[in-house]
Amino acid sequence: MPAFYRMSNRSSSAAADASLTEDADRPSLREGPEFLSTLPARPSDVRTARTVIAVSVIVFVGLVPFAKTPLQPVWAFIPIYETLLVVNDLVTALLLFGQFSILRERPLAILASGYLFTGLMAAFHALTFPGLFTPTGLLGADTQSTAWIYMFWHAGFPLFVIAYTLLKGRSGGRLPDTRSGGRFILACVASTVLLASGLMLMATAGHDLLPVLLLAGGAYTTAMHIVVTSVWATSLAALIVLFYRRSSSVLELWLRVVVCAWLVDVALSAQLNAGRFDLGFYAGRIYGAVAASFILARLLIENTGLYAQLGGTHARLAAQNQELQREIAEREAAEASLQRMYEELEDRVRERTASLEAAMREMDSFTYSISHDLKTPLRAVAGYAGILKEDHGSELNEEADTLIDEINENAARMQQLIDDLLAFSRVARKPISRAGVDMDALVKETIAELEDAENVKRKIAWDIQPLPASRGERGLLKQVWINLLSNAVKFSSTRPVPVIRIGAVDQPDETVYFVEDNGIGFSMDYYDKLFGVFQRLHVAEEFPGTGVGLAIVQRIVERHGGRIWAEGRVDKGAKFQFSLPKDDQHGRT
Amino acid sequence: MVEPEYAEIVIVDDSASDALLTRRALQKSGIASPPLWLRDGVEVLDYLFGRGAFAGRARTALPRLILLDLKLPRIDGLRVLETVKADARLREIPIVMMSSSAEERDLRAAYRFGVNSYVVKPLDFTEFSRHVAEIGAYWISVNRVPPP
Repeated sequence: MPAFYRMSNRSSSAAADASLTEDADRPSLREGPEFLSTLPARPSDVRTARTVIAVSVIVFVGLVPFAKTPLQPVWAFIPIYETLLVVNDLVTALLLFGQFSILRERPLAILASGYLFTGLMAAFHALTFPGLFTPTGLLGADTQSTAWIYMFWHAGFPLFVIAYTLLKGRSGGRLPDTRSGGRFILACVASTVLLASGLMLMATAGHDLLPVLLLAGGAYTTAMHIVVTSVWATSLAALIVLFYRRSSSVLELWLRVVVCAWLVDVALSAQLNAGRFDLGFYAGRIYGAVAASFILARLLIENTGLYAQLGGTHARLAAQNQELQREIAEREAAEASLQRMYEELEDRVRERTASLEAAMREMDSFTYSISHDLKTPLRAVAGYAGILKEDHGSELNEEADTLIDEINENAARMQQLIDDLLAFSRVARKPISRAGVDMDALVKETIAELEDAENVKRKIAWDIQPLPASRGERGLLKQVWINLLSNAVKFSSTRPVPVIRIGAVDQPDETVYFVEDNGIGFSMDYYDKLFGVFQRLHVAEEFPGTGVGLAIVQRIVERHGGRIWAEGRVDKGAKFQFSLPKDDQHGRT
Repeated sequence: MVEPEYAEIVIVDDSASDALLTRRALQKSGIASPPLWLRDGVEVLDYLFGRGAFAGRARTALPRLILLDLKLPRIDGLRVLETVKADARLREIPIVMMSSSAEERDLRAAYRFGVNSYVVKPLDFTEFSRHVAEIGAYWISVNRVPPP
């Protein structure tokens, strides 16, 4: 945006000019705009002000001996000087009112009124100056009118400064938000105009009521000395108040300079000189003009500075905005690609689910066929062997008889394998239903059934600790206990006193149940085979089984969202542990 | 293999060995009339409705028991069951489903179609023979059906 750059370039060059008397690090708009009246004076400001005051005083001291030196009356000096004052003061008043309307600090409006007052009084002073526009002056002025207007003028402004300084330090100076700033300004302007006009009228219409200050030849009366000293004293009072308040804003710092110049002005042009148009008269007036320009100059510098800041901020905001737009675009692009990836993923999940479902259906019909068709020939084998024995038993010798038994046993074993395999695949396919399961009751029930099934009731030392309830499918969990407990019974059967310990460990997220026996144990070398289908760690003759039981147990536990693990040592027993989550969300199908 | 026109018991099974074992068990249990063996769903329905190979058979002569295998070629056992139980004339014939499997869905389907009994064929010869003998004895001697 070239417009911004042009603007900020111009503003920053103006700011560079303005910062001749300031540090390079100007306050930025980041913390809100700073104004003359709020900006704290920095050491560089203080140094500049001191220098100006020092120069003023030196020049003043140098001029004092020559104050009474009469000079040529230059009539044009008066209107030029007064016009300069009027314009300066009115512009200053305008800018201060402007600051007031932003900051709403009432003391600022008072000070602005002070500048309006001096502007008006300067105008009256010029208009009534004898011999300037008419021999006696305009506005019905008499011989003393101009002198008195000067006195009112030069006593008035310091009073405004005092009022400003005293009010400034106090809380509650801020105009409430409910009140209109414009109306307050209007009230200030109206009362100031009234005051100035009133004073002017007192000096013109009330001329005869006031003491005589100037003699016919232009010499000062005693009254003049008293009045001018009092006027000078008000400026001194203002300076004292300014120093006493030790207020630290740039505005107050420059007000001190202004009041100093004001003191010199009054001293040279009405106290230490002899009359109109001598050196003191001119020098004092020049001081006054310079004094009137200080605040104006500072305000103008500040205005340009603020413009520079505004331009800079605008450019920065535009850059930030652009950056934001870019970030938004990037984020939108990222979101779009994320959405695409998500959709692709969903598609893939759908495809995978469909193919899994197809595989499941295939598996389903496969196991269904197995359960129906695999057993028929097996039954034929067992059946014909049975017929052979029943119908032809008398013709068979002992060996044939044993072989027939062998056929039957193997057929039965095959049947068991098929049934176990079907059970295993059923666990994988069937959805798990969940309900509260009383594990204590379930274990007692299982043990009772196991003991019933055992042909020889061996003495088993059961050590059963209380078991926390769980959630799951009771039938499947019972299958877990049946398999683990029958294993424990089976593999500890060779012990003189089999000991089987059942217990549980309650943990925050899950419950861990365990079955521990003192049986023949197993070698951890074969741990990875423990839960495999048809994996057996012992010979079938010694400990019968198909090798599917633990695979079924593992599958059931995992379908419930739990884990199973074991530890064992050869001839030192085994401990099987399985966990079931407490959170119902896990393992749901 | 078309046996006599009338049989008290009809065995429907595609496995010759199962049929043989069943017949043997029934005959050994003392049931007089020899059971009829049919091999699949089409045959049994033709027999019952007197059509196809059995066209012209006296349709009023209905068996007193059907031992029906679940898995049959062409028309399977469940379909036969459904057809028989949906027919006003045939639905009173007791049907015992004989199956190798105890799959839950088969059991549910069979009972939904109105099976009279469901038996899982045991593998063991002695046990099988005993079950078949008991079934025959019960449905022929103990059970009563309404007169035709």
